[in-house]
Amino acid sequence: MDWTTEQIVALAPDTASAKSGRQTAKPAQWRFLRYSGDSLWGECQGSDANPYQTQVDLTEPAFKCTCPSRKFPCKHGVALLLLYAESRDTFAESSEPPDWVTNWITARRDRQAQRPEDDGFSLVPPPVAAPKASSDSGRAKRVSARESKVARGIDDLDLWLADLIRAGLGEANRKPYSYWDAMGARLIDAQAPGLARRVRELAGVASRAVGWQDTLLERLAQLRLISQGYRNLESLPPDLQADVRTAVGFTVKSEELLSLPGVQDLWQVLGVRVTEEDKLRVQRAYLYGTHSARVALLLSFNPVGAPLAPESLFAAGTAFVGELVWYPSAYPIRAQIRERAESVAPLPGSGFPSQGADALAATFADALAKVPWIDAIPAYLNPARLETTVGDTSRWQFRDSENRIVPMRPTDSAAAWAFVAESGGHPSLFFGEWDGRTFLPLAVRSSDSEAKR
Amino acid sequence: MSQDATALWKSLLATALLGTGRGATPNATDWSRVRTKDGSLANALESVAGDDSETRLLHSAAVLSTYMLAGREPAHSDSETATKAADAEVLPLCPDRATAFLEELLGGRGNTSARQALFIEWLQTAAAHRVRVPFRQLPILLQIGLKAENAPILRSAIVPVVGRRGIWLAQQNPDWSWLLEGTQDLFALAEASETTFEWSTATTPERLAYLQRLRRTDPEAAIEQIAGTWDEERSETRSAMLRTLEINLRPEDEKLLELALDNRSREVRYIAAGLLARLPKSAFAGRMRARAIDAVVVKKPLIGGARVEVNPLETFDPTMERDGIVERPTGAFPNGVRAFWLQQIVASTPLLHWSEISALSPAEYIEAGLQNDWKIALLTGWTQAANREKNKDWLEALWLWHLNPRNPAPYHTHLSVDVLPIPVVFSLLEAAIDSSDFARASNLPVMLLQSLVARSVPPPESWQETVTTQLIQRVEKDYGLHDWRKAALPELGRLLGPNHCVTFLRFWNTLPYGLSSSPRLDGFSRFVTAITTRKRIHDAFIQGY
Repeated sequence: MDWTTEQIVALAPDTASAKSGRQTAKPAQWRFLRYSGDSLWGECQGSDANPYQTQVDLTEPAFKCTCPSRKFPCKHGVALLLLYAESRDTFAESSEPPDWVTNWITARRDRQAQRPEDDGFSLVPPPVAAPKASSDSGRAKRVSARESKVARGIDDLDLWLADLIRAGLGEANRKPYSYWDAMGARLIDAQAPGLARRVRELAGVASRAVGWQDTLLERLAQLRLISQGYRNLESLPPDLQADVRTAVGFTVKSEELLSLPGVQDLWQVLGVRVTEEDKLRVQRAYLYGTHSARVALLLSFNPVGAPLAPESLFAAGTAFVGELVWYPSAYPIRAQIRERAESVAPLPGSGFPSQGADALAATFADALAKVPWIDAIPAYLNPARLETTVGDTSRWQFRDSENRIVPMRPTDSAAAWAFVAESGGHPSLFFGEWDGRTFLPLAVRSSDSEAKR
Repeated sequence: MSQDATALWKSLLATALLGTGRGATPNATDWSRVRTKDGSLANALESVAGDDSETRLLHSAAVLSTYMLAGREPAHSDSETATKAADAEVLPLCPDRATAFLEELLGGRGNTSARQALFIEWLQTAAAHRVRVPFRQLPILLQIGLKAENAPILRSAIVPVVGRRGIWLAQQNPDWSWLLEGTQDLFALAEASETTFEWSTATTPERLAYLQRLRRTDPEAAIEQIAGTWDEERSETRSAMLRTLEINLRPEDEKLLELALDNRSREVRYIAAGLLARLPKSAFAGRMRARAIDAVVVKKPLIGGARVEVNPLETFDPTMERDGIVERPTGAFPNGVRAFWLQQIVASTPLLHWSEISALSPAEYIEAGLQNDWKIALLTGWTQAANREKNKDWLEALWLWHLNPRNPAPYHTHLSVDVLPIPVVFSLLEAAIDSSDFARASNLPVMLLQSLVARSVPPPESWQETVTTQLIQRVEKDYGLHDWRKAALPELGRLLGPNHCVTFLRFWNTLPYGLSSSPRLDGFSRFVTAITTRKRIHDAFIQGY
């Protein structure tokens, strides 16, 4: 069978192996590249005095290599398969494979005949480990200790907010970063990282040139709303309780999450956004369930500079079959993958309904009614043209067929131009994040993206 | 959204800015002013609780801001859109694998000149397949072109792969107008900038750049400009200004150049003499030809080949000093001062002179000159004259003579190649292919190949085949390369067609161990890698490969 580069790289046990496999996939590092039937082999000069003998059985694929690496498959195996996929010409056909090749193949075939399921490496992912039951007695104690810490942090926050309002916000834009950061640090100590992040963001709001006063008061009021919600937590509906706890900074335990009911569907990746926050690379992937019509946001975090693990790599326009579980919320968007099975060819259209400017406003009002501090929701804009704002070519806007305007969220101009190039000034279907005021495009349907389907 | 809600928000904000410690606090009477369709906002605001006015203000602000955000209506534009949509695209999209390669090239780090060469190859391959880049890559390509002002090859490689969408996009951003302007328009741009040029306030580099532009469009104006301030300039500036006359050199420039021969600076005199030697009808050329006639005579006997006879000057003629001829060599000149003078006279005499005094071809002159005791002075002089005049006939004859393995290598010199037409370079490469004398000819074939790299033209297919066979034979024979082919490996890696890649890979595949990592084959290993990468680019454009 034929393997594509993407599939082969996905076989690597981790990103480092994938990368070194890529680097080893140079014909100049190999000798005696041969094939016979479903077998490939070759010899690679490594750090050892003797070359490593590497072979691949294409049927599974299965790998064998004489190198000392404990990784499976090792970089030589990945590289050999990559070479075969990309420069087949460099392999010569061999009618008489050497003994070290035939021995392994024969042994494998024999074992397969006896026990067809488990031999070497196969593409089927291992079953998800059952959640470890933890009935730790100390756990209840830790939970209550944290809750009282958070409660003290909330008290401090309310006092700080009241002080700010009493003294007046008029000169808040002259306060040093340390003023905001100190309250942020206090909330970190109180184990309320969600609130800490919101407080630290105020420093950026206050330093805006225009309109900082309105936004600052809005954000302070939102903070007070969350703190009040936490004080009255028991009186709120369970879903909204979860939203308040998330906003404060409580995380949902993975085993709790995976015990919730999930949704099995064909998931289409509508758009992906990668940002850097606090030395972390954050990937937001928005999915749409073809049959369930549910929307999901998958967040992945990894250190800046390190590549994302293959299982959390999503590319817009691809699709897979799998099961998702949502984090509890009154407006559930964020989800986690319980099971990701096969990748499938995406459908011609996602089926996700697009909306005009008016409907977008109504949808966001609905979201606000559920979670008043919601940041943004995924949305498809009705066919609209992306154009520069009259009189200011550095600002962009979407114009729908009835000349209603949705401003584009300011972003770097390279990204904006890429969307202009792709839509060509034609009314196009844009997918993105909608925060009630501005729309950030993440993907656009164009003749190029159609051509790929 | 109710106007009242906006007014209330403004009053809340005013209080918050001033501070509740100092200003009036909004009280219950404010809420009754708020009118909404169903009274829900007023109800919500009335139910706001709080022990103190600060909390009440924040709670009210939370209600109000959420109410206002939820009630936002999209803006409506009264005018139609200003931008015209792009026409339907005519070029098909390149295959996915080619896109992946392009992204790899654009995102990569490392050796930039090698990557740029691959990038150009990608673009040219795409153009040959008559396909375009994905729309989303257009801004990056247009931006690369914007910065490639001095790389016309890169720009002209980008133009065919952007499609109609690329032209439309360039119309949307003034930075990318380079795509719309042909080279003609670039000159118009240069002219436009001249109208605003102010000589009296410009710095010397600005003046020189201006003179270069002016020489291209209006040589007479440029020479007037130079003559206008000639007496005031320092001698280094005079030298630099004289050099700009090389662009569009014309007989009318003689007057200023003659004047420059009287300059006190030796460098100014030398540059002026060099330029005058390229004007065959000038008085200078006449003086040089008179000296050449005295010094070198062509004898054509009835039997046997032509002979060149030299009557060397016994003493230095002081009038030669003014014409840029130096009396004493700065370094050692093993052939004596008389040969030194002869070489300078030959170098400054227009090559036209030689065809006027005899029917000998350049090749016959070279042969005849070599029979003479003064051969080094003669050949060096002709070489310098050919380089300076960019004389294709003489350069080709000199090249052929040097590449001929039967000829001895009497001296080392530089030979221009960039003025030679591509077919001449090809025929010179044919002559080089049998040369295996590394010490003698190592750099000459490399210079020819470098010129092809710079012009982005591959050598003829038959030549490539021969070199492929030769390279493999030679590596096979002694596992090393010892002639010009070794020095030319980087150029060959960029010029040989990817169709030869498989031959090299198959061969490489059979080499014994230890040899691959041997430093002797370092260059060859890099060469194999380079040609493999290029093969991958070409394969990426073949559908279903």
